[in-house]
Amino acid sequence: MQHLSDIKIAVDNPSLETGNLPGILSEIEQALEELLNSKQVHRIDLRAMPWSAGEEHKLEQMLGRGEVTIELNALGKSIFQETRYSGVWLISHYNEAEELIGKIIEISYLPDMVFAQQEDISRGLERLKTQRSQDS
Amino acid sequence: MSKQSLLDMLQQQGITRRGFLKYCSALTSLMALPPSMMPAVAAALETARRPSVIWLSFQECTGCTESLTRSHSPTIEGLIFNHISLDYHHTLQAASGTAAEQAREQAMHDNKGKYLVIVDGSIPLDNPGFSTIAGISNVDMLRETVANAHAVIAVGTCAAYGGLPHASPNPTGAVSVGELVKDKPLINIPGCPPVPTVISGVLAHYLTFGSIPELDELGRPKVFYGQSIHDRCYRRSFYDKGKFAMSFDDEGARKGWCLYRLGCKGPMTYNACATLKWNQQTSWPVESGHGCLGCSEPDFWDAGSFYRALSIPDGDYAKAAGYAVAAGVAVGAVAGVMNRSTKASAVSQHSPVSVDDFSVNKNNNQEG
Amino acid sequence: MDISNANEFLIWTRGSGFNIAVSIFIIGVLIRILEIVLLGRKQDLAEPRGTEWGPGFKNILSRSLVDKGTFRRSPFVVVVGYIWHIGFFVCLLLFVPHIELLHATLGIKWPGLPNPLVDSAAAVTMFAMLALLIHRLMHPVMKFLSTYEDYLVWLLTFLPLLTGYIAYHRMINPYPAALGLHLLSVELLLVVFPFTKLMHAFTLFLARWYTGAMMGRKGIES
Repeated sequence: MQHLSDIKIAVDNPSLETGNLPGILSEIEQALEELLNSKQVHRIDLRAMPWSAGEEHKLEQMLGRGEVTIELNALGKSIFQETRYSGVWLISHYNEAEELIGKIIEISYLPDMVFAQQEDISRGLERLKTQRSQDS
Repeated sequence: MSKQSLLDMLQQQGITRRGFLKYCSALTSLMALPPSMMPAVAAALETARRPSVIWLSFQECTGCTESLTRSHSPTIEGLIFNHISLDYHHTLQAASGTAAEQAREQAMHDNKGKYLVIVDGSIPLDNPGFSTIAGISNVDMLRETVANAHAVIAVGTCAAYGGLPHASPNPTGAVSVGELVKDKPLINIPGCPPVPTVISGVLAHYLTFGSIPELDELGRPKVFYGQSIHDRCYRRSFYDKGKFAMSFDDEGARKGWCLYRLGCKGPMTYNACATLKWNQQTSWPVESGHGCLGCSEPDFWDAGSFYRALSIPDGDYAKAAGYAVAAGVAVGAVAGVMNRSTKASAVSQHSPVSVDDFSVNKNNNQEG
Repeated sequence: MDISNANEFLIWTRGSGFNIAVSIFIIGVLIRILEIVLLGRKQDLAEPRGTEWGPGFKNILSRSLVDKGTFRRSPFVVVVGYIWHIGFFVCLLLFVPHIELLHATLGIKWPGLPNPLVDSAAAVTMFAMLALLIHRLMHPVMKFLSTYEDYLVWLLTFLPLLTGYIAYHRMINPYPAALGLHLLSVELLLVVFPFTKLMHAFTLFLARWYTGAMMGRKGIES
């Protein structure tokens, strides 16, 4: 057993609620309207609020899974999961030890981080040029 | 202080821009900043330099270092080796004895006015010999090391408020860092131990922005200590409804009701446990069914039993009440006897009144 | 207040402060009651026409009910007076943290009310007390009859409600300061209690019982 996360914890009392769930859902609703009207991107840090055991899971179930799942491999894995509501992304960042280091809900057309980055493109281009000059 | 910026180092390690952004995203969350601050964090980190850090351990149990080394996100390795230059920590460093002390002096010399001092443990003042390192008393080492520091972070309740060594009767005359360091920026990160992610979050803030976060009146970062355990507790609704666990294994305890009656100090304790939780966000004391001890508050060890409700007085009131009853009965009896004698003498001085005694008044009335 | 001392302040009010206040309260109340009881009455040699105990207790009850004449003369004082007394006892005796305190100190306990109910009782009680204070100040006769002791007693009764309300709603930070102020206000009330007209909380039973008992002995309905 390597990580704490490997220990399965059975929550026998998921009825306990902090009252944060309805608040998050209404925040998402508002953010979606803003995205449609003014292309405003909104992010919610799920670690910034208290959750009772099992409550976060309930939120994930309510959001469900949408059409797109993106896996990123940079300093460990990251999963960008589109939810049942298009434009609402559930983002989970893991470190190299596969420990969760961040969980964010992003309301956007596509999370910024997924786009190829200017610096990475130019460095890749340089690598390609060097490679070609060595080959020729 | 390293000349290289953090971004340079990350790039040398072959970390992409995406990786950097992901790192910034995790750091923003770690610092308890809103996600919208992520671009600012990224911009600051692009130019951030690795600060030299000197860690001093005084009257402590190493629990705070244990806590920090269990801080998982981003990993302690990442934090220590990528982000800070930990030049002296006598528990973690390989060197010992003279070599270790030389490392400290070297770091102080090379980074004069720029290095960060982290302290865990309280400082004994009654007799400096109570706690020494390499023959140097704690108070001397603190004064000497802090003299040219940029800022000081007191990690743990002992360093922040005196903690356990300071508990009554305080046999070593232990004091907090704040009582000795008055002329440097000081951040208190209390807790016994502090939440690991709070330690690394405050460190991350310092090295990202090169400044100290906004503090409350007790010198604690407001982002982590701004709200009480009670305010953020997921069991709060049971407190309001009046549903309480009465013992640790009754039905209420199993249903997760409020632990106030079992002595939870959540209402008076300001900390981030309810949100950040412990052990990679697995759980925290209240979620595990035990009340908050109030370990991040000054004098928590002297604040009475952990298992007495906050509203219950803490002194030996039964004894006080016993003496009071005895004294009250005694004084009351004496007062009663004195009143009786007053009454008796008043009775004995009574003289009968006859009709003649009123005649003057009668005449007066007739005349008037 | 120096916030770094808030915890020390709370520790003092929960410890020494409480002990001192309770001791003075107990000594004071015992002196006042023993003074009255030990004074005694001259032996009544007349043949009793009835019993004393029953009518005595009946009188304690009947005189706690609204007197029609008084009600007709000053309905406001009667109604608001009842409201604040009942509200005060709801706050004192049915708030769970208070029940914990009484259970720990006296060893007796009973079920409490949900906090929002006690909270509204506290608000109503404070409004009622404020209304009575204003009435006292506006009414020429009452104002004339009032001494500084009346205002002191009003204030010392009002402060525990106010500080308790502040502590419950966490309106003063840090919380240890708010809770400490609440405890201190209660301790002030306890200290002053035996030496002011607050003693009526005990003496009303003696007085009403005695009146009832005497009437009973003389064969008059109490």
